[in-house]
Amino acid sequence: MSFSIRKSLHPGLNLGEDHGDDHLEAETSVFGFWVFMMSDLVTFGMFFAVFATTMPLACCPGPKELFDLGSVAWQTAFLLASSLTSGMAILTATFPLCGPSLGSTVCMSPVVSSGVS
Amino acid sequence: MLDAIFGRLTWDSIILVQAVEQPNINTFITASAAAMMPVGGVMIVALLTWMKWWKPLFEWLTSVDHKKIGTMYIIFAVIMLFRGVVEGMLMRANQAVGLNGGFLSSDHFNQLFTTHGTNMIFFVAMPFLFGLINIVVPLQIGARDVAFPRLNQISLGLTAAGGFLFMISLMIGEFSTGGWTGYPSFTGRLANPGVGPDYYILAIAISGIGSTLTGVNFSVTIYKLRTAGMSFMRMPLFTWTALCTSILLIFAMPPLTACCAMLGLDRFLGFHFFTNDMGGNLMNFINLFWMFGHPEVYILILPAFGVMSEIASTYSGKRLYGYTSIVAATMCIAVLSFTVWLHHFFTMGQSATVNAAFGVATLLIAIPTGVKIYDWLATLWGGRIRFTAPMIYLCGFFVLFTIGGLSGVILASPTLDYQLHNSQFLVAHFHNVIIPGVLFGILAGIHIWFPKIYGFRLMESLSRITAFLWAIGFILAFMPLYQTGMMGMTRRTVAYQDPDLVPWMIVSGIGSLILGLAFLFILLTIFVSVLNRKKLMVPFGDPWDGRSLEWATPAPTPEWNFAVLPKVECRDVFADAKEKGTAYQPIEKYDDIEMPANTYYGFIIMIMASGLGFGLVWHMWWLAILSFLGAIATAIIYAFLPQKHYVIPAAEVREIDEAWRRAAREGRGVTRDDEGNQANQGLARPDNITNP
Ligand code: HEM
Ligand SMILES: [Cu+2]
Repeated sequence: MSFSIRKSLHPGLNLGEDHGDDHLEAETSVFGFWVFMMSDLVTFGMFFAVFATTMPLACCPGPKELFDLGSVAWQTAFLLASSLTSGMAILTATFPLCGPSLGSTVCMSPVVSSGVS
Repeated sequence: MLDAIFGRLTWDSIILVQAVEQPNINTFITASAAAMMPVGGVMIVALLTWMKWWKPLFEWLTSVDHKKIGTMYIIFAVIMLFRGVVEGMLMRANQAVGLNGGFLSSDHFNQLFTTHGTNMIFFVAMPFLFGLINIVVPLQIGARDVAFPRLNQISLGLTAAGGFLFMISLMIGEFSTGGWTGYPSFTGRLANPGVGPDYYILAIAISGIGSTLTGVNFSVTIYKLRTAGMSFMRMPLFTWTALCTSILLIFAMPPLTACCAMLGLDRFLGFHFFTNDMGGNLMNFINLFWMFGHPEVYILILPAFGVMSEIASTYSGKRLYGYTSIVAATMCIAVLSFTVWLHHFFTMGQSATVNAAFGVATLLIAIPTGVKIYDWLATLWGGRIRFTAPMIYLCGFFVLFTIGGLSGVILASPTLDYQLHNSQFLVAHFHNVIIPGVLFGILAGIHIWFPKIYGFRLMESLSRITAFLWAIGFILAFMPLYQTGMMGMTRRTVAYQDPDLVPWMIVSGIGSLILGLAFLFILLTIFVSVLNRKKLMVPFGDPWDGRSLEWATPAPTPEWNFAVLPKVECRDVFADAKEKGTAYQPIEKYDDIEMPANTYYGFIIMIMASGLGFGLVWHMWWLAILSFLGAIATAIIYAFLPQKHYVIPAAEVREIDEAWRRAAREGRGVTRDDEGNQANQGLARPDNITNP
């Protein structure tokens, strides 16, 4: 490969040279994953936008009265955890050589990078 | 018990049964359309069996080769175009005799414009373009396939599943009557409890997810799979426009998914996102729909612009004038397209200031578009122009698309739009940009790249007639609508009372007949060309003296595309290599090539998605749940199965590639004078023209 293995190949945390060929092979998948996430973000952004614009119009009970926010919180946490672990599972299945560390690095990267910035 | 199995589906839902129970002209038309499907199905099965084509069929359906997937997209689009054109002709026929009521019932007419619009946008224009992009982009950037070949197959499967739902509505049940925009609360549960809007929502939501994934796939392909040296500013323009379209897909499909999902929740679970009461707000739907809808029209037109750029330079034998400005203009259009959606509903109660802002934003888009038109004209200047089919499309585009664009500028002014909104003027405008813009681009693109994939050209004479028929038919069918629109005729009307409209409607009806003929000529061109393929062979692979990488391969292109991935040192690499005489230089070292193996993944997902959609529409919950779980299980299983590859040994590649290179070096080739003749074997010799 002509380009340096140190180069950052996609947004978020890169595997880095320790992972040998997997560093390069994961490039398209992880980049594609980020692109898809952007699209997903817009979808959910739209739901929130509708929610925000509907709120002032509603005559009726608001979310506080309707929802038990406590349970919504842990449901969301479970959902995110499930996305995280299935992402890890699939990535490790695809790049078995490097063991679970790849999956966790890549999936943690949104968390980590948002924490860093 | 039956309810649990069949949901809302009853005997009477089947269109053929309706025709027997109440025979009249409307049920006769729907029944003939419905009958075409079983009859067509039986004929196809018979043909496949007779020709022993079952095995090849499954090799195609399970293929992950971008060229085959692209072809399947295009075949799908041609079939759907047939339906779309027939519906357009039916509506025009009805209008031609529509003074005080034509032969169609209003419900039937409403279904016709809804299916026609939905079909033409989602199942004709988009699949056509995805097909072209699939076929061309990997070749233009010097790649062996797209970034995610299996995902590509899944996208095709989802598009096909949407198409299946859309087609089956012709036979079982009915389609929505709410137009291709499907505004609630008309499409809500209260006004429309039937299956029509459900078919609409599910068909476009399922195919829409496919389109999102396509956008991801193409953009990653273009970002990450370019061959060595293919920097962004060296990419051919078609690839540039494909990139912009993919970016638009990534950001513009989500609002559609979101608004379909919410309308679905309203209809299936009694939510109140878009209802009139209980705090719902239907303007939210309209905003979301057009946040998708306006970028969508640029998703369609940008690749067509890409094709036009390729035509302008290839068919005048020059490099593209103002490459950088066209790239910048394309990007500008892509960004601006997200800022104008409100012009689709100036009349729906915003303040004048908001309207003015969106009106100005809309007018701005005319600037980069104008830049492009001038660049293309300048490219033609002093070139070695051949007036072949693609050039006819380009010239038609210059004149007609510009008129369409200008009528768009008229509509962009809120004051004028108050007069013209929802009139036939609008119908004239969007057909005026879609047919001479998008469709001309697609048809020209097929003409150009067909020989690349199948190894023989399309008959030049027939292609030219087809191009002229589309142009003339378009002018007759749609120019009169500008006039009737200004006379006050609204869109989507089944009948009218003003006798002054009749002559215009008759001209328009005649135009639509010519458009029907033009469609038949597409089929005829392909059919006759297949029969004469021996005479039209272009084994060397460069029939038009092309300029970009895709022409640097034999035709038909081998499954591995490039024996050795090429290196790129400048723009228009292949033209440059031909000038220097290095185009077919021998290659020293060949390597084994590893290609992804066939898989049933996309096919299974297609079946599951179709089952899910059909189950939901008819409230057959067992089917919906089973299909949904099946789709998830499929995804999980395939995620853990190792991806299979097969290897093509270097020796085999070397043999084929060396033979081709040697023959090309020794061959004499033809000049552009003989481009349309049998002598054109796909090897280009420079013209000796003295420049003016
Ligand atoms: C081939 C010949 C065509 C004919 C004869 C035709 C004819 C028509 C007619 C009669 C209408 C209804 C106008 C009204 O509302 O009064 C219509 C609507 C429409 N057409 Fe076409 N059309 C053609 C091609 C196309 C193409 C190629 C596209 C897009 C790719 C297209 C997209 C649409 C759309 C989006 C609508 C609006 C549907 C609605 O009102 O919801 N048409 N067309
Ligand atoms: Cu628009």
